[in-house]
Amino acid sequence: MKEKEILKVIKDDIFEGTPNILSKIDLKNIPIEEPQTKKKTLCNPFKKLPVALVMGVFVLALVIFSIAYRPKNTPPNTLTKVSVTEKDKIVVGYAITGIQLVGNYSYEVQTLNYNKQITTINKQKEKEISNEMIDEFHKYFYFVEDYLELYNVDIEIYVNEENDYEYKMIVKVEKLFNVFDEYILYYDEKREIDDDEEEKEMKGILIYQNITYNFKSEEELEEGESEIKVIIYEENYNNRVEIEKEVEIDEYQYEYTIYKDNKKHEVVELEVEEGKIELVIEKEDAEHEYTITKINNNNFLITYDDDYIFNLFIDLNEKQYVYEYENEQIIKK
Amino acid sequence: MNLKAAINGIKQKDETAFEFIYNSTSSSVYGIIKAIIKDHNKTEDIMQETYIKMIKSINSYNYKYNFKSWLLTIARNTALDYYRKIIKEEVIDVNENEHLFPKQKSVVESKSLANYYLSLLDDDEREIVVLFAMENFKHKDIANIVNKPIGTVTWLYNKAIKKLKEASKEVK
Repeated sequence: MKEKEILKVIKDDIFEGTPNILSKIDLKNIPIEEPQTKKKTLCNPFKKLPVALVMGVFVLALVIFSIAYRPKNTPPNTLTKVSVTEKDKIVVGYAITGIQLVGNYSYEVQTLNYNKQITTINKQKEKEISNEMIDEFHKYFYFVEDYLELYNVDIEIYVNEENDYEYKMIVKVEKLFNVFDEYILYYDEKREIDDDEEEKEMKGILIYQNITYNFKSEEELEEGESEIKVIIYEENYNNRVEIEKEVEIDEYQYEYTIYKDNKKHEVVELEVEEGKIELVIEKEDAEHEYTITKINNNNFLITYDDDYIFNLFIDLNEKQYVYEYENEQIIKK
Repeated sequence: MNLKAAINGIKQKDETAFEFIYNSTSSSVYGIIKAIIKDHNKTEDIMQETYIKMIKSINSYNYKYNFKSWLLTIARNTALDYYRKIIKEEVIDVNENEHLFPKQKSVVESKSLANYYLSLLDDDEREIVVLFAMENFKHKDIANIVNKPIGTVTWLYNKAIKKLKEASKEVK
């Protein structure tokens, strides 16, 4: 008997054997407890840090991939731009995601309420919840943009003469709506090549908006597959971001973990298999899952925890993201 | 009526809303409790207790989470509390519960094939297989309900399915 048949036998039997106790439950006389309100901490010193850190991690990943995939035996030369190979395209999204993270704190949220007459408490609650979902989804949508390769990245590598690090890299990113950003990295690298396998380590600093971050990375590359781990932190290693990414043929998966005081604070995973894009966010002992269906390059259908559905339209003309659910529209720039 | 409306309805003590929730969930609630307790009569009591707890705490349910996962977690915890309690207070009469999980092949033909299958599984495996069979949950959803790592859930599930496939050959 096949697995599905066995499960069906079990399901059918449990279904048939389920007693009906509905009449034993007296809904009217069961007291409903008041909701417990959980106050959020007003001041979270780590709130801003992970954003910057994660941004840095993605840029690092970009760098590492670009170097790893550039033609072998092509050392960086002074004022020589490194050619970007087809495989470098894998890397493009990393920079996008990092920069988008920074953008999360500056976007303007504008809610257009199509139905001004919504007055019931329940409806207000529903609206609040939906906004919360969309806010969270939007905060991490750059992961999807990364996968869909919606950003342009330009990389230049030089032999460094400005400080003790061996190389200098300049990363210029053009993200959606023609917004540009730039990162500078100074680093040393150690590379070992053995037949089809390649192992590499990088260590150095990343500068973005006048803030310096420490980073180190380890990666293994094989034909058609790659694994990468990057760690980045500003000053305190205990408050760091670790990112692990695996790319295989027909599979794409990565996760990043933010550590606060050396403890896991937040984990985000993106997995794409057989065209299905799943974004999972774990934080504060909760797990939220979004499944994204691409309708076309600008339109997406998103299902949240299998229960809620909303649409996203990327409006390139107006330079904004338009989220729609039920009879409401939320615009994020 | 959809699930969200039904949950709001329960908050307003709407009987129809509760009936909707009950009909959508009772088999899974029964299945997970039965997998733990293995006593039909007690299972009914714990089902009742589960739904009462759900109603009492409906205001603490967060819409962001899967409602069935939340309810089944309540059911599982209620069943485990009961199970731990009776283990402390009395010795479980295995024979008394034999009708739920018959171990003899001969009984299978006259009773339930599903119960025979479930009797072959360890407690942990049984819970996971029932959750998978009833709701087709993803392994990570099941991991949250049974409070085990996803890897453990996957491993237990595969082990259980292997046993069940072997057993199904014998039954044929």
